[in-house]
Amino acid sequence: LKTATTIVIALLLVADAPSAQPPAFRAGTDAVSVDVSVTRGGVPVPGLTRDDFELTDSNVAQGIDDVSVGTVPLNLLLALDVSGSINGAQLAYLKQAAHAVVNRLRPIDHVALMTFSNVVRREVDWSTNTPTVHEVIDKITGSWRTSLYDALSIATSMRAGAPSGRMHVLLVSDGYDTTSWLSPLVALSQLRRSDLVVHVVRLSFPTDRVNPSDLLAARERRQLFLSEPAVAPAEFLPMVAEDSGGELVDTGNDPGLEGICARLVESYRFSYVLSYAPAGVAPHGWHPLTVSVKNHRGNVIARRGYDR
Amino acid sequence: MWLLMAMAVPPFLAAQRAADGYAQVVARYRAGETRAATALFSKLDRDEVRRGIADLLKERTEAGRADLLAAGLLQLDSSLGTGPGPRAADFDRQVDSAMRLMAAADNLSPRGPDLAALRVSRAVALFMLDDVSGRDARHYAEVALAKFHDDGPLLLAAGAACETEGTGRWDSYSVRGRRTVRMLSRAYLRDARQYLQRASTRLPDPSEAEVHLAHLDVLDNDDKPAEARLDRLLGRNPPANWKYLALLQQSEIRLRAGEGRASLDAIQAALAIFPAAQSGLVTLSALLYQAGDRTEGARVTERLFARTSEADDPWWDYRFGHWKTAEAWLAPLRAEIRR
Repeated sequence: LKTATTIVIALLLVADAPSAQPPAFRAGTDAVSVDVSVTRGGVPVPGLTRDDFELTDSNVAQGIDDVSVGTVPLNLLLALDVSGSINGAQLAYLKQAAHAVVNRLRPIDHVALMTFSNVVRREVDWSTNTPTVHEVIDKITGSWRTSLYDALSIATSMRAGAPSGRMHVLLVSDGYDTTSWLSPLVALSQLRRSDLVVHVVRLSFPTDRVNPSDLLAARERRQLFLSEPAVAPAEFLPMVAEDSGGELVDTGNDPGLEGICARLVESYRFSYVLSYAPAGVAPHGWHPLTVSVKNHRGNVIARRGYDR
Repeated sequence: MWLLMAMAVPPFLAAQRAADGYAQVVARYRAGETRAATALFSKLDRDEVRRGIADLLKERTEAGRADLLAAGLLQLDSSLGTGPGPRAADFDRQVDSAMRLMAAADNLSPRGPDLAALRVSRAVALFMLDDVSGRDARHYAEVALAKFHDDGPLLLAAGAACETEGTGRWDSYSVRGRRTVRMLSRAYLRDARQYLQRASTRLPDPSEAEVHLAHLDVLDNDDKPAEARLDRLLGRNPPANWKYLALLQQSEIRLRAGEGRASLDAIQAALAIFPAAQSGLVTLSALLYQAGDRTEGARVTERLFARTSEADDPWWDYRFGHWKTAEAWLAPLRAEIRR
């Protein structure tokens, strides 16, 4: 019974172009905010102003109205895969990582905690009460199957209830879904209609099993996933990170997980938020974005676009 | 010291004691001490069990039927994880033993079409399927179908097994690997359709087979036959879980046809049957979100978080709830050995 809306959604996603569909997105404002991470050697680059950035929306250069950094509260949703494949020592490492992330939040930041096996649970609603969050993390137990796509859809819909400010998701999972009802393309489409930034820590990714010369190029993998997600499920998490402007980190279920998660949150606390009023672009459909930094070398990460 | 004592026991006596040990374990299992009997069984020597089974198979009176059934069920429980403990490494050998015991029980007291061996065959295939082991499930169903031709539940199990394999979350990172995945997936789904079509004509209630067939239609992007099939099924007022899944699927098909209102109506009707089902709530929330009504979508998500009965989702049973049906096939046998 799965992947039923696959074709419709795939057409929307593949096109990467203004959609022929009637507008389904009702934004409260015309302004667009884009989270941008600028790092050099893995370290955030500080002190950039709006004059340092170049931004295009649908290939049209845009004037940036505002750039903020650091001062913008972060709403962080921790979304943890606690399915049967993550248990024992692995679950303990996952909890350590969650604690480390919560410890790095500032008083102005809010955190919510969601776990998913086959059941998606909100363990803690948006809160600044970190001691409570730590207590709940300690009580997490693992169970059964994995509803990853359903979990992402639910995470996206949690945006409406989040406090004002940007919302980032730190999604930790091995990436294999077994019990979602929604197709991965539906979840991805929903994400692309939101302003969520999703950072993905992918556990136990088996890169060593494949001869690198036989690997599909990133573009081919993306196209294959969009046309036949069932034969390329491993592409889901990379696309979630890439499309939302988040980072993807592959790791094992080991003590290193704590450091990786902490670093991700640390760097995105210092990401820039660019705001602009789109000019000269279609009001609806897919809007591809590019963001670059003038006269600075560094790694710039921002969402690939937005759908409205 | 123990070695000396063991050597002092004459071989015929040692064999007798071993058989007695096995018989006692079976007796405890019959008495309802399932957990203890399974634990003891796992500690018995393989030869000990073999001799014990040989003794049981010598039984020629109907009174021995319950012991044969109990021995077979004990073997299943300890090998397939149907009872306490995980699946044994040599589960296939143990399942074969269980099947011999069941066949012997049937020979002692034939019950017409309600054969113990048939019940156990159906249950084994379903237990395998529940363990995401579509290939094993298909193997056992096909072996049983060679004996019990055109048995509806076995055909259904074989079809569901092929469907599980065909829609499995396999992956490959290479060009060649993905071509193979696609080819295999299509072949499995083709086989699934053949089994399920046969099952739907053999089962007294074909609802389950029809829901599976509609799913296959959808996977083939064949919405019209899927919708016609679902309409027919819903017209017969099927059991609640199949009705729910038919409505959920109908909602998806109508969305694809651009009929947003009808899609919402179908999902609401599904949620009226299982209000706490995650599959229905997440679909409704996603539909509302895509339609631009994010506030209402978030409200549905709140309903999802607030639910108290988290396990009540027919979709999860469709994927991994086969053990419930498997257990239902075994229940009369379990009851019989306690009498």
